[in-house]
Amino acid sequence: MNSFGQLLICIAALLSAAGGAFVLLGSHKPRFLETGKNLLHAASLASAVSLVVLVFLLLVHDYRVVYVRDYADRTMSLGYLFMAIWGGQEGSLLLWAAIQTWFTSAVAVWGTGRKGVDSLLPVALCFLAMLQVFFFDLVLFHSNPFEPLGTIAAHGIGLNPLLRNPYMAIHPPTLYVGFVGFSVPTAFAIASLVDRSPENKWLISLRPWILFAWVFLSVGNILGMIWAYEELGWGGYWAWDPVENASFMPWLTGTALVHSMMVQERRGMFHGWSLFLVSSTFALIVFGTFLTRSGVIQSVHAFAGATAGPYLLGLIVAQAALSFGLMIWRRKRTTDSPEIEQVVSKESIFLFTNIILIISALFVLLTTMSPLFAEVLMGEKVAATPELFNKGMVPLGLILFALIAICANIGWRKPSLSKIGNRILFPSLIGFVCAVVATLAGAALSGAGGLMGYAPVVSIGLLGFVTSSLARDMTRLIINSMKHDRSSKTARRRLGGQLVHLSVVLLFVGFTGSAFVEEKSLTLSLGESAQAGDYQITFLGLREDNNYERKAVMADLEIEKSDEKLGILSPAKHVYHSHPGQPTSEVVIRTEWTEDLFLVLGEVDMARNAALIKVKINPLVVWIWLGGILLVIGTIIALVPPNWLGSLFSAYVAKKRYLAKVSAIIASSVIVSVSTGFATNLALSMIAIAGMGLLGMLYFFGSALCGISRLEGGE
Amino acid sequence: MASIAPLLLAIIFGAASEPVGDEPASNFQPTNDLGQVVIDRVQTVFERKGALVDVQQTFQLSCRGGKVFQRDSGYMIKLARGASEPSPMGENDASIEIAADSISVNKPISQAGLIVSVRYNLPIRNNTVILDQTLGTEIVEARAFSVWTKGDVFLSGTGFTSQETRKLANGLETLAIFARNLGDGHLVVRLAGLSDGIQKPRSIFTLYASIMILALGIALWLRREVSTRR
Repeated sequence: MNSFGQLLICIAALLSAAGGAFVLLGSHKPRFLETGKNLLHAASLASAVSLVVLVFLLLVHDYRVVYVRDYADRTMSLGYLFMAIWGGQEGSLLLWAAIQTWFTSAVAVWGTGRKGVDSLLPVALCFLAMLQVFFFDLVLFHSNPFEPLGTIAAHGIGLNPLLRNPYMAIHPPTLYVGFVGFSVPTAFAIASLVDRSPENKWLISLRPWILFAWVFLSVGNILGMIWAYEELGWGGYWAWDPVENASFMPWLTGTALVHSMMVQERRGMFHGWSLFLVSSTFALIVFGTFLTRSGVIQSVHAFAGATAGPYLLGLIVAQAALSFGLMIWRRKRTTDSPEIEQVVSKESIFLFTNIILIISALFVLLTTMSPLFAEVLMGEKVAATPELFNKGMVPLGLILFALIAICANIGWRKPSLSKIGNRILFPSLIGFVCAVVATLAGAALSGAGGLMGYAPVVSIGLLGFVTSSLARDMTRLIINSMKHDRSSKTARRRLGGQLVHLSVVLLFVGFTGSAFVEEKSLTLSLGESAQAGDYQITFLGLREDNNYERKAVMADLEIEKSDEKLGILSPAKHVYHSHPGQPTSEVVIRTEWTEDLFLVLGEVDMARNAALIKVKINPLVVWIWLGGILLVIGTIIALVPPNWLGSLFSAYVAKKRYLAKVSAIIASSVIVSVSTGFATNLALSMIAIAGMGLLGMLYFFGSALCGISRLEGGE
Repeated sequence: MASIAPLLLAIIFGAASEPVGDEPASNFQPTNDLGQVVIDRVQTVFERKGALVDVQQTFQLSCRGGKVFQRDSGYMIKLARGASEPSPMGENDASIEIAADSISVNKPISQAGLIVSVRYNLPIRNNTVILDQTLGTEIVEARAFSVWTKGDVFLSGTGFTSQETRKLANGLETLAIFARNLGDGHLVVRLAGLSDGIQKPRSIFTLYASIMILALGIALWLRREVSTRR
């Protein structure tokens, strides 16, 4: 079965290559284009079936395969067995390649017949196909999830205990969707530079793709923060770890791209910026992947034993050379656009925002790489500490935060300065009052020197400034949209955008709280109590809780606050049978609107029934997660048009040929898998789904062959 | 740190393709020097350090009509320094358990196969982790085991008589006796018939073919672009 899986990867790679060649030739002959698209659809189904095969191998615990031996064991639940697909480098690269093929197929369907994009489709699809070929060949040669063991293992090693967390079930796939999503605008950017037409409106058409990728990248980052907060046991959610930075840097440039796109749509400006940001975002995505999988930088998140670095470095160089080389070649076209008419204008603010975001991305990049540079250039071992990152990013973050409010109060082109002054006065006053109150309440950090000490005060002041600006702007927006229905589409987008800005406010509320964390270590014996902040913690004793999967030692703690009993919380230490040398902390978090009580079990003494308990009181953390939810809601509102159901139906009718085929395949797979007893025999269902996928692949391949034979017939 | 010299041990039993029973198989040539052959082979790759041997069971397979006809008992060679049980394993211990067991009667030999249980330790070197794996305590499909001869030719029997399997078992026992002097060991049990040799050519073909197809497409497109611009 693993040979079959590997064969499917080979087939997918070859179909991708053939599809890429045919679509490219389709720029002169439409029939070639159709053939190429069918081949790319077949490739996407082949990659899907290869994933199903991997799932099957994991479900049946086929320990003849190295990957199954390394990432599955018989104690893992069904959910974690599925998660094992992206638990290791090999499976995660295969998943990436598969997602790439699905995006390519979606672009092929979406772009057909679409004005402004149709002419760019051949080159764009060819670029995407080349990416697919790269990832499939990387999987085949370097990180093959179907590698045979050579014998059969008695049992598997299983997933790393740190990865056995529900957030890890969705964090990597959402990130991969975000990463792959940005390959689509990159492909069209390259196509537009290659194309002779000076038309620049393709970027506006790609707005849904960019927003879709951006929101997944945002959600992926936030889910990673939640996972780190719950699983790593140090009480924080962001440590400026290289792998965290790897997904943060493209988010920064992606955010700049989203703003740049707005200016291009509104004023026809910033096209060069948009092209630069598209290419930079994708280059940073691949660079981040290089960091994660090359081992050049040590990280708790990095894939163990990963050495795909040289190949990914090659991809970065090739893509950057192609993108930036084309930009330089076509610089006259990309720089020819209207100019900013007034310094104090929305366009200026957007420009300044872009610059700050790029500086932030550069700062994170250079600081992340500083240990490597120091070792190579000076022979010294240095560490890029969180404090170093905060010194740079806190001021930049505060500037960006302020720009949200300033932008909301400034108009396009040549706004009246007096009007700006009037608009900004009231929010400024509120912000000032908040800052003064914060200072008087002792929000300034005396321990941290200079500017960093006043960061919480500035942040609180800006919270007042930004919130009041956004509230007024959103109120005006809602009232106007209710009055003038003809602008509802624009109003929806603006409302969605402002909700996203409001989510940033919530994020900053949470970030500001992190400046006031209280931490305490308590060594408690049975019956002993201790005070941590406003909480009284009484140690009720240790107990063991073992199951088939792991052994656990739990400490029962009775929590009281202001004489009110809050209940019993039980932080634990787990030792999984599959990883006896790697105990994990299972923290307990009690969440309130104002703070989190974070409890970690440290050292235990079973004989004396004593334990070391680490207590952390994290103010306002829940607002970060709420901010994440609001960010998604805001993006959905901005992304989805008012009559989305009608639009979807129209699109289905317009593209019924392709969508009908896809719908038929998916519906057949669901029906067959349910009828083969999905609930009782999942492995059999996987075989059924794989069979459906193979049939679909053969259908598209057959269509492509028919297309080729018609070409040979001279049609 | 102690170095590890690899010991490559592959034992192949071929699938029976014709009826055998008490008659000798057509192309299997047992040799009285089998044990010596094995020792010679191992000597070329293995460094003696010393180990205990605990031979627990003997084993033989009888085949008839391509099926396992009779199974006596499993054969286990266990080597452990200072202990008869393989666990806990010390840093420099090596252990090999070759067990043929749990084979159902009246099943084709291709389904019966053999269990190879290999347990070994790699000492800590350059902060690498100690590997401690027990491989293969389940029935494997269609696995062939062979004993290397001096000329590196696999003895791939098509079926063995009781006498032949006993001789093969003697060879293993000889190995075990030799391996009494075994020290650190990197033990690799290679099961022939697997597709690990097939994977690479397929991957190479895919890589070259996909690059060539794309390159051809780009070249044709460029040619068309240039001629159109003229």
